[in-house]
Amino acid sequence: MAEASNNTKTNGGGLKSLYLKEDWWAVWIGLGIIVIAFIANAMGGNLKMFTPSIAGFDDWSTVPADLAAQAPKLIALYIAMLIIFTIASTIMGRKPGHFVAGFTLLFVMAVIVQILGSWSAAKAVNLEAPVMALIVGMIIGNFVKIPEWFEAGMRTEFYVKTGIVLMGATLPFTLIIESGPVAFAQATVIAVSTFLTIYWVGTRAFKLEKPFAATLGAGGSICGVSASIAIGSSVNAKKDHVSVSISMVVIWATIMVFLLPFVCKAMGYSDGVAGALIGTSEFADAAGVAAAGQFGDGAMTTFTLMKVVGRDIFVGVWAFILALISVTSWEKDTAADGTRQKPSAGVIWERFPKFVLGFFVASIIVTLAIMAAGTGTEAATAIDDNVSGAAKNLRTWVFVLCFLCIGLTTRFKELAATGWKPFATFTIGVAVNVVLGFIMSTIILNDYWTAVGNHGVA
Amino acid sequence: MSEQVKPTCIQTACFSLPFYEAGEWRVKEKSPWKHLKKTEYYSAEEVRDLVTYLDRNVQSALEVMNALLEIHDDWQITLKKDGIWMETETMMYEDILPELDKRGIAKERYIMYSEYTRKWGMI
Repeated sequence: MAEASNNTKTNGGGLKSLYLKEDWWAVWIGLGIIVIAFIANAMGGNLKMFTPSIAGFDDWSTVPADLAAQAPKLIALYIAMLIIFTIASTIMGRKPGHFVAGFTLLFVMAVIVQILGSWSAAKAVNLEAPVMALIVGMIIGNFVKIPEWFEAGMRTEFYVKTGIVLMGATLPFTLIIESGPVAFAQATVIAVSTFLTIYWVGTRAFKLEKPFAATLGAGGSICGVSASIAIGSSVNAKKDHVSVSISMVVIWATIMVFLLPFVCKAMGYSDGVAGALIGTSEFADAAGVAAAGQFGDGAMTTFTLMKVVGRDIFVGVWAFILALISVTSWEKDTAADGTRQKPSAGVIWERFPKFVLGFFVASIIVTLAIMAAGTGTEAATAIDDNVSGAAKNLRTWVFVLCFLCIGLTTRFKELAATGWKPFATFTIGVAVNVVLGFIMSTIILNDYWTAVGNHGVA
Repeated sequence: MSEQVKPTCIQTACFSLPFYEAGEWRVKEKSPWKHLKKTEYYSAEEVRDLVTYLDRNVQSALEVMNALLEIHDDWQITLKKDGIWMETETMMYEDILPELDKRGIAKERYIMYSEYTRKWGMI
């Protein structure tokens, strides 16, 4: 028998994953909200009781009155989110007491950040809620010791996945069908180029181990930390190597959250182009949402097409291919008897980000409902307002929670000491990624992404 | 984990000690189970071969299990009808494999998987 060293782990998953995995909970919560919004709409109601909105202001003296007006909605939203996320977290095995306390503080901080981000002086210097949440989070996270009970409420990935499912309700499925292939083509050209660059430089120039270089390459080209973890597992990379790869992604994702929007604004790119560039060159979903959130809805649309549709959904395919290469090539010499365990195609599904299914289903449901109501009719407008509108507002709140969590959990002193070779390898990949992203988003497909950003917003 | 590198992920080292040859489990010696599960009529000899094969594999799995328990005492052990699963998050596979080697456990007697998760709730 041969030592098998690639992952087709079977001891886990199955039907239990439907209620034990964050991905599936994001699907249930996101789709549940959309279904409830549809039911409310059918009964002539809406979810506006749960969708507070802090108005922009110049004068701080107007804030108390606005807050007082929004207080019932804020309390209703807090209670609804607290119940939903606490149930989900408890079933997933976390202590409810700690989660309730942590979530409560996080929600209070989100309200404060929303107020600060609505201040005209902050907006004037591009410090809107997403960036404000990141900065506030990073300052607190890096200079104040965060108690354990507070950390329990910081479920960055959970919030961003739920937000992405809700985002599906605001993105017409027809647009995904039309623009998805273009996004996939652009994302694939850049992802493959970046991966091969990192892998080649890592193995040839810096003599890194092949599984290490592949894990670094995946982090820099597919979908950040998730890809490093998926590919690291697939090729049996060492723990140090996965740790270093994650650190590289976090460092560069954090830099790009600020750098990409700054460059896009300085160059005067349209929202659609900015979103496409961020979707191509930002390394992590949550960081990308924070960067694209600094622009209009068109940026969020093209970002989602590029990152979620063009890149994220293929992580399973990458994991399968690299597991296969790992077994048939990299481990060829170490296999005891010349026979090796082959990965099964089940890896593709195992690694598939399940929350993306929720995103697609949400998009399909809302698009079909609007088409059935007759585009442009009063009924379609009601669906747009009461379902897509509610989803958009709620996703904004979930994303602000997420941005705060990113800031609070990105502790630079806890990142791995990476060594100069992995850093240089990854950085060369970043350079290739960004340059190709600029060429494709702002030159070759500039008009296309601008048009999608302008007209593709639900 | 080396002293310089602070962990940003959690590794789960998983060891599968199978009783049968599963679909992904390729060996030069063909498992009798592979043939029998596709056959409608069995001879007593074929069944006896399977029992011998299973007995040898179960004994081997037990030996590897004991070796893993000697090396480390924090395992989540799952006994399934087709084998034993042992998982740990508190010792890395990079440290476990040399210990198995020292105890004379050949690589061919187990399947090792590694799974990673984020250490913090970050991006």
